[in-house]
Amino acid sequence: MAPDRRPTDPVRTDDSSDKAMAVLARETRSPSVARSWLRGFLDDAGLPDPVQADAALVISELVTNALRHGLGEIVARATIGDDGHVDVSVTDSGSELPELQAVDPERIGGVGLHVVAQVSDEWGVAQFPGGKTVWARIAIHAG
Amino acid sequence: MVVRGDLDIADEERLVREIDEHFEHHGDDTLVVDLGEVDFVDSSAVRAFIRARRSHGQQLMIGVLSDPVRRVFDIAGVTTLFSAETAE
Repeated sequence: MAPDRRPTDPVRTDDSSDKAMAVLARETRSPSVARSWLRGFLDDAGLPDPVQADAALVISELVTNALRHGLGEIVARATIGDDGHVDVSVTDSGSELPELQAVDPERIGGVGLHVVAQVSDEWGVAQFPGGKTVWARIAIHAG
Repeated sequence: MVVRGDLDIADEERLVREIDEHFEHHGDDTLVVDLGEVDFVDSSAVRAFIRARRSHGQQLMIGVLSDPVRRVFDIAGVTTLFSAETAE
């Protein structure tokens, strides 16, 4: 049996020095949980605060999208590449694919993906039978 | 109204409700929300303000924005919607 989970903990994590994953519940606190988990992982890897902040903002948007539009358990992953970037991704069991819409200040919704697109170098969606993964690549710029 | 800390999906409903309650008690007065001490926002904060704007229109303004808030609100294209000119 897993020990009792604190409110600020993911359901489960598996972190090594350059790769990490966290399973998140379908709860509104999960974006915050994901940010803390990811910042901790990147901090342990010695990455500067601006990179941690960018990655935290992106993971927060991706987990929020998974909560609003996705299905089932949410799995967040992060990998530190050896050529100067951090890859983050969020997988859920929903079939609805995110689409970047034109910016409309008066519309409710659609902003999260714009944030992901602006903050990351690249982003994309991978669909598979039973779910989807949305990923984004964040440059490790000088702190 | 001063908001502090982090604003994300967990705070969206509370923020909309608090803005609604302000207007219930203060009627037609303008509300200037101070986000200068907010450490983190994502698009859920934008969503809360757009939702509140649907009810309260231009009476709802944002005075000070911290750098993390300005970044996200600029990307969303909503910074000028809530601009309180006197605070600029």
